[in-house]
Amino acid sequence: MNRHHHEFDIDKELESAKQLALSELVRQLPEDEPSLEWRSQLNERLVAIPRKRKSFWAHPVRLAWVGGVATIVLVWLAMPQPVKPGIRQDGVLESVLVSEHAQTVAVSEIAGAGLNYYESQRHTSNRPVSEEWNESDLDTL
Amino acid sequence: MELLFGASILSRGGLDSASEQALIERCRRNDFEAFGKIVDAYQGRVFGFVRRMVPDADEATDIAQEVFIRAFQGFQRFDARSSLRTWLFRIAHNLCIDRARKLKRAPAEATLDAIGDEDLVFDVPDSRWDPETMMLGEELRSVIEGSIATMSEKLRSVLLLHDREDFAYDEIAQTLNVPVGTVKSRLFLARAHLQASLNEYLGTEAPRK
Repeated sequence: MNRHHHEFDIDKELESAKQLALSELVRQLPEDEPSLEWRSQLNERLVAIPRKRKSFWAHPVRLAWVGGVATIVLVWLAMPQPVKPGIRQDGVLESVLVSEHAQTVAVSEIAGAGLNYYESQRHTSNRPVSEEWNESDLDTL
Repeated sequence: MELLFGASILSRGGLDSASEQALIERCRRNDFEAFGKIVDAYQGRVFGFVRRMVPDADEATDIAQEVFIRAFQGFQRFDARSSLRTWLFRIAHNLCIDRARKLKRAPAEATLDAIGDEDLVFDVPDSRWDPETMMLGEELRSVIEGSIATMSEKLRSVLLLHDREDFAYDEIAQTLNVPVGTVKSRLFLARAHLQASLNEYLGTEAPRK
């Protein structure tokens, strides 16, 4: 680092009379005003901006791409949607299940459990009970 | 169209904050008339800045137009964290630097170390340094313009923004995206460059008197 940096206060230097004199000289430089032709050209370029934005749809490749995507979407929407058998599509599956369960419980409470198949067969059979005895029944005697 | 003929009414004065904000809101809706008023207010300053940053007159003309076109296209992204003036000059500065990069002429960064002690002494015992008596004649103006044109873009932009456009240090730092300390050192170096040019001019002029 140079020796002058140790004592160099840039804020003070920038506000010195000589620096301000130089600043004043720059400030006194004449104004620059663009010509009317410049402004007219700028207007033309500004007016052209929205046209450029619309040109997206005028591009044949982009237009074809967008058309293709739209066609695929329309075909997909027009196709009948497969419905899974046994599943209600209206969103009331839970209420149907609850209703079925409630009916089953109600029937059971009214009719009772009843006899199972074997019990009902025993009571309806005309054959004597002893016919069904076997060797193992001897041990119970 | 009002946009076409409304130029230069407010070329230097700018806009007050309320009306500027109202114009910005209209510009966000692609209002050409509102944008025309903004161009009226800033075209002289932006044009002058670009013309001094870019030596080629045709290029400067084109870049100055491009500044306003970019601004018009970018108003949706302008979040008003900085002032409209700072934003416009940031666009202008970036376009000028882009142009310099395209020419593959990277602006060299001067440092305070690179300057000799004699360049740092501003106490020149010469009555012609008095700014009140030192009126800008055609010849002197040409010397100053030439000096500005020959300094690096980095020094030039700071000098123009501070001494011509009255930007504060922090405003320049925001515009150029550099620290405030860098702004101050660049300004000092730019003025040192200008003083060297003037010293040379005054030194050659003195014997004629």
